[in-house]
Order: sequence, then structure tokens, then C-alpha cells
Amino acid sequence: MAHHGNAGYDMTTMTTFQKATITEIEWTNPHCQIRFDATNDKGALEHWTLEAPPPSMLAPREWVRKSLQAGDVITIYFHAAKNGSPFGIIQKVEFPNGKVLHAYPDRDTAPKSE
Amino acid sequence: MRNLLLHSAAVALGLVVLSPASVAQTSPPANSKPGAQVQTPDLSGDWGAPLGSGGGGFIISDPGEKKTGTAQDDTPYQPWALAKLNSERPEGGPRATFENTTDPRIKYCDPIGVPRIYLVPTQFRFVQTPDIVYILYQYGPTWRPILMGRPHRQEPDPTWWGESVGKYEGDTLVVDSIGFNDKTWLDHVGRPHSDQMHLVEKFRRVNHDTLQMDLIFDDPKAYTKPWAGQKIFKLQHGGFDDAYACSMSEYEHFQKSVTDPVVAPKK
Repeated sequence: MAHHGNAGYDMTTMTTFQKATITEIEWTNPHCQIRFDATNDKGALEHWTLEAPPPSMLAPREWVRKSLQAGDVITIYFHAAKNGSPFGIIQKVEFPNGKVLHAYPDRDTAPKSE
Repeated sequence: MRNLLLHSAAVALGLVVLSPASVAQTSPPANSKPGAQVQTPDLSGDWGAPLGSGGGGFIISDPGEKKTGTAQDDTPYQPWALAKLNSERPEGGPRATFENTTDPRIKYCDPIGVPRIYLVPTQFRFVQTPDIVYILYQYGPTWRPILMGRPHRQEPDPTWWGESVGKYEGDTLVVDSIGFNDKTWLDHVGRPHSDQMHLVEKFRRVNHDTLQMDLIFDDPKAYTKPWAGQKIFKLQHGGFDDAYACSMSEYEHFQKSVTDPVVAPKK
């Protein structure tokens, strides 16, 4: 059983979707999960799953369980899986009103194992 | 003799740094002589890894962070301990792998143990009473009682968290622990220890927002000589009440829904 580390993600590249539609949030350990749909630059709909910090780490970063809800349309930033699958590790989200919620602090280096 | 060696090691490593700062006069403990005044350092607050440090890191390193958790660093492993380290499959550090981990806290939700609990990106808090200092950990959540001013029992039975006694030395809380089982890892890379581990944790609030923890590992069964570690924590603002619980069912769900597809071979 494995869950930690970010060896499976490309931490050198930030992927962004400007109109991501949230489909599901799982507020669980060892990591929360965020699922969204977005249209790629070829017009195809993609279904993504991102891992996020656990609730105990998101809470001090001003997240609550209902910060993101199904149907919300936001801009989302994440590091995608190296194997090309539609998975990633989230960095932050930006709401239409300009509010930003960080899942991990912005920094020069990638988030380490948590 | 071992205590003498330990003390010598601590002095040689410069781990005992006393300062009159942040020391408060408090009521004496129940078992002290009448009229005695005990200085109790104020360790109040919630403590955690500095923001942006990427959680708690992978290992308990020395102050210069020269240790990397590999066979090449200067950790004084006994041969079996080095072989065991090399046989582990950790999910953190230079040998990180996503597949078939041997990490007992991930594989089984085993108690994470001490000092590894200081490496998870969660918080902890001291509750200082005259007789017992409780360390409350957000991870678990769990807690350890530190029995103040008392000696260890003779050969306490081994447990996940050991037996801890404590005292104040100036502005420093000194926690002395024995009686551990050998089932936990010292850190995320898989450094082992034996049931003979004698761990000393020294907590000192170097300023209002900063807590320094110095460690001495004395485990002759696993290491050829005592060695030291250090970590710095920062005062946290919020979040302590949100406990981190280890749940095998949630871990298994995460494994299937995220980890497995992420580690699958590239199509």
C-alpha cells in the first residue's frame, strides 16, 4: 500500500486549465482528491484527478471541505503525472473573483513528500 | 557509564545551549521541597515545520543537514542496520519508490513512533503540568506523557512510544526515553533502531516563534556510537484541531484511485 511522495509527477512543469469544472471532492486521508473536467486545446473533454494535502494540512491554508464544490468553474494549477495519465498533484486554484487558495506554498522547489 | 557517555556526547556536540530567555517562574511540582521554585520555560503554542519547507523533510539530520539517509552519509550504522536500511522500500528520500513499499506506517498504519512523528507535516503542542508534560500530536492524533522528575523504571517493557521521563535544564525541556519496540522507522527513508534505543529530545524556544529540537540517538545495538539530530519548528497559526487519522480503508482507496494509475507504465 503506497500513497506518499511525488516521484510519479513532473514537478518541473506546471499544468494549468483556465476553465476547469469541479466534479467531485474527497476530503480524506492520506490525501484529499479533487476531480474536474476540462477541455484541452484540441477541444476534447478530459477527466482529471488530482491529489491534494490531507485535511489537516489544508485547514491552516484556509481551505474547508466546501471550498470547492461540484459545478464550480475555476482556474487550476497542478503538476501532471509523468506517465501521461490524467492525474496530478495540485498546487493552487484561482476563483473567478480573483481569490486564490494554495494547496501547497508557492516556492522555487516542488512540494516534497507529505 | 552510558549516561556519562551520553552527557559527554551532548556537550561535545554543543547541544546544551542555555539562555535565560523565555523562562517563567511557576509553582513547584507536587513532589518538590516546600518553598522551592522551579523555572518552567514557556513552550506554549502549536509547533510545526516552517512554511515552504515541504512538510517535515525526509530525515532527522544533523544541524548542517549533511546526512541524506543513504549508505554514503556519516550515520554510524551497525552492519545489520545498514543492510536493513538498504533493504527497505521507502516512499521518501533519495531511494523513493511508489511501488511495494515496506514502510510500516503506510503498509499497516502502524504507529509512526518517535522521532519520525516530527517529520510529518502536522503540528504538536506541549501541555506543561508540574508532574507530567503531555505532548499532543495532531498526527494520529496521539499523545505522549513525559513524567517529570522521575527515574525510568527498571527495564520497562517495549512499546511503540517507549517510556519518557523529563526535566527542565534552564530554558530547555529534556525528554529521556527508553523502552521502545523495534518496529518503527526513525525517519521516512527507513533508518532502523533496536529495542535498546535511548533517545534524548531537547526542546528550547529560541525566540517567540521558533522551537529548536536537538536529539541524541544512543542505540549501540544499531549504531556504533551516539549520533545527533536537530530540527527547527515554527509557531503555527491555526489547524491544530484538524486531526490526521491513519485509516487503512482510506489509504486503500487512495492507492486504487490515484497511486496505481500514477505509477502505471507509460502508455
